[in-house]
Amino acid sequence: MILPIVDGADTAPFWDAAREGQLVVQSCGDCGLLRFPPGPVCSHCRSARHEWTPVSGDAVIWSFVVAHGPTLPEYAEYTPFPLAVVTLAEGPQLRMVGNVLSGQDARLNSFGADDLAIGDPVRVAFRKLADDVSIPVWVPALPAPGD
Amino acid sequence: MSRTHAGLKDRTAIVGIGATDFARSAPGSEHELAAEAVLKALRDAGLDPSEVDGLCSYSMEGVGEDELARTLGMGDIGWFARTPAGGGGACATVGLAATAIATGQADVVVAWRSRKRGARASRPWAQTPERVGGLDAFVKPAGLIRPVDEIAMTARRYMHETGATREHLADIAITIRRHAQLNPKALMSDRTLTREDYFAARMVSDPLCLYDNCLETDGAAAVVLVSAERAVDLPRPPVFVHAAAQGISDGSLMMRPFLAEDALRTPAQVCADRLWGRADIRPGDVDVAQIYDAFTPLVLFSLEAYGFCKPGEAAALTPNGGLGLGGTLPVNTSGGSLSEAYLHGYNLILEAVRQVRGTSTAQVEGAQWSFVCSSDAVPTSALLLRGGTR
Repeated sequence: MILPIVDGADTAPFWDAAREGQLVVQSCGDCGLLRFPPGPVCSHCRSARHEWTPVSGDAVIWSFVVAHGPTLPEYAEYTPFPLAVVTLAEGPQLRMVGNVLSGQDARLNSFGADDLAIGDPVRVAFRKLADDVSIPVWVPALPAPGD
Repeated sequence: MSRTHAGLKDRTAIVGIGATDFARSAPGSEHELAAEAVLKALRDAGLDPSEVDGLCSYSMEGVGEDELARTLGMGDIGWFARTPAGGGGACATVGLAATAIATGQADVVVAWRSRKRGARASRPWAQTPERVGGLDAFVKPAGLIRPVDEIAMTARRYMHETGATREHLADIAITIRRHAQLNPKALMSDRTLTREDYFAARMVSDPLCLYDNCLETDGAAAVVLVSAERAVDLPRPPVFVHAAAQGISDGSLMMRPFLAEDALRTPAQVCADRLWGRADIRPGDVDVAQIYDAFTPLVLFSLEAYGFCKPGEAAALTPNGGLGLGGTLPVNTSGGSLSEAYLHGYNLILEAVRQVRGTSTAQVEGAQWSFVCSSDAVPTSALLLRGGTR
């Protein structure tokens, strides 16, 4: 698998938290706006102060594709497999790319095109790819009580 | 002011075009291909390489200005520049060249693109390193690796919101293939594409199948620009740069517009505002359009962004040959990126020029106003070209 560089100056806290099973995004140290992907300055108030804040891990599928080959060899054995962009519950400005899986350790192709729909609720889980790397993945959200 | 500033209007012209043959595998280097295309463009313009004093290409271009100038004996070069964002920068090379000439920084500018991507191993995605940083770290490990995956992601959302379907994407692929069949230089000139073929094709990144993807190509293409005053003394009828524009939409990132909050407000919507603000005509006056088609959904995005239809209604233009010769708006009349060649959109510029000259293999009769745009998934650019007298 392609792995993220986890010790980059701007992004290390994200990967540190992911290793601990927590999803974090930057929040502006002045106006509080949440932002992802990370950046050096708040696009709203232009403050350079920020901290990393946990988010709920709830999201909905904004869109998805199902990747067929040809692709890189380490992904080829899983094709076709879905990939999604999700919108986090904390705001429409927060989108993440990730696998949608039946469980955090399921194969990348545990779902097919007919199993997913735009708008489906999902919840974050973490998939360990290497000793120093866990990445967020998305699993179907359990229906809320009463649904 | 800048949105409507007419400072470049008709002040420069494209006076020469040239291209190599297009192939899935050409023997020459990118340097050799660039030299061939540029020489052809200069011959077409009736200019000697020694008269060139300006050069412009893409930031991704592999052939250096110095190398090209030395190889072709151009002598001294006084202006050179590059445009960012891959296939978004195609039209911007012409806009930049026109700016240089109009502001007196250069007299004869060659703009070009040379590219050897026919072989799968030559593609950037196939060379992804084992560890990736920056934004890639949040995108590629999941397996979102190829440009087609990125476009398909935005395409499905667009289809969801507008009601566009794969039938419309098929219309686009089939129409553009028909145009390629009229063009002996097109890679797909002798290959038909039926609706049955389209729906039988393998998926590449669902909802996109094989025929939604362009043809990675080995080849090069070039244009020559001079001032409008000088253009009238040259052998070819001048094709004036009537308007040029660029655009980055709020929050949109290269190939990843889905990270912008308003993800379907594409870069071309910003570019379009400025292009039409600087032009004497409206979208409905355009005779023929060359629309960046590395992937079929980009045609829908651009048709809508540039105002060739109402928002969300681009799909209604595609059925019944609406984008073909005799249709509402003939597009990609040489076969485009999908069926002529994929040269980061440069062959589209050459075809836009041929239409105004009246020399296309799929000529729109009497075409005077020729529109061409670059990729609508990255920082983008567009041109409005016109024929006639100034």
